Amino acid sequence: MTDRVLLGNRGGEYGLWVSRPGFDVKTAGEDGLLMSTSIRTLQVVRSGSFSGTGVVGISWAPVGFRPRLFFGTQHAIQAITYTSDNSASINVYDMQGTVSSQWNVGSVPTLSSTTYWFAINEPA
Amino acid sequence: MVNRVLLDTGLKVSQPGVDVLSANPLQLLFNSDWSGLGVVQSGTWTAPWPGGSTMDVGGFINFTKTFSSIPFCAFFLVRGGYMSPLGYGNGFFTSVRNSDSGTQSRSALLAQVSTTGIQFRAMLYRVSNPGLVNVDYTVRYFVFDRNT
Repeated sequence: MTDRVLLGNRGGEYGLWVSRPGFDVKTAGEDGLLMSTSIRTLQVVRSGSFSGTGVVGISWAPVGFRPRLFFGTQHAIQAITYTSDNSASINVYDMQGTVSSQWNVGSVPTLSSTTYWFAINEPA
Repeated sequence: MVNRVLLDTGLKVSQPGVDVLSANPLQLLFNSDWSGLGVVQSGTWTAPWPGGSTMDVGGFINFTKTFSSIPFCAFFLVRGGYMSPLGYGNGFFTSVRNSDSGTQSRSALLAQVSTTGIQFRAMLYRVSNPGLVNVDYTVRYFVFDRNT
């Protein structure tokens, strides 16, 4: 069975490492590791969703810093303006009009009005 | 030597040189109070060039599981050996104007994500001298999941 968790000395560096299945944690390269105390593990610190377009305000419980935001939407994110370390104003451009005027083969898609967002453990 | 790993009711790991007992949130490399994020599925979807002047092609990619909420996905258009990110996590449009007639050739790729998969649609409307190349549309997609 392959060793996958190491808490201690790895190549002269003390820390915590977890390898991917099938990879020996003592010898795995960076691509064979799930977690390493040498690099920051990408994590989601807050998330949410909202409906509608135009200028929309979002907020989240404080995390101790201003986190980088990511969005998933069927419209267009034109601008992200932080109003504090735990709030932002999002300018969402409604793409349904463009889709309706440009899509001229088959049936015109209907875009969902919901935008999903999440914040990661990296500063904005 | 500073303390870098704290395992009590959870797990925290600090940056090198930073004591995990006094680290601020940005000085942590890992914090079990937060969710992990990783790619759980990836692949490609291709709309083959139809050979004519119009195209309306759809396809559905099933997720390997049903998510409790719509997952975040990233999309890239693969052309000419490079990948171009598709905007806003869901779709993009391009438009080319025909200067003679004033009509427009246009193409579009749309990806609509649900909890069970991704619905792709590719549309093409081509007029004469459109400036559009006859190539397949291939989209590379990545599906992210988080453990809360």
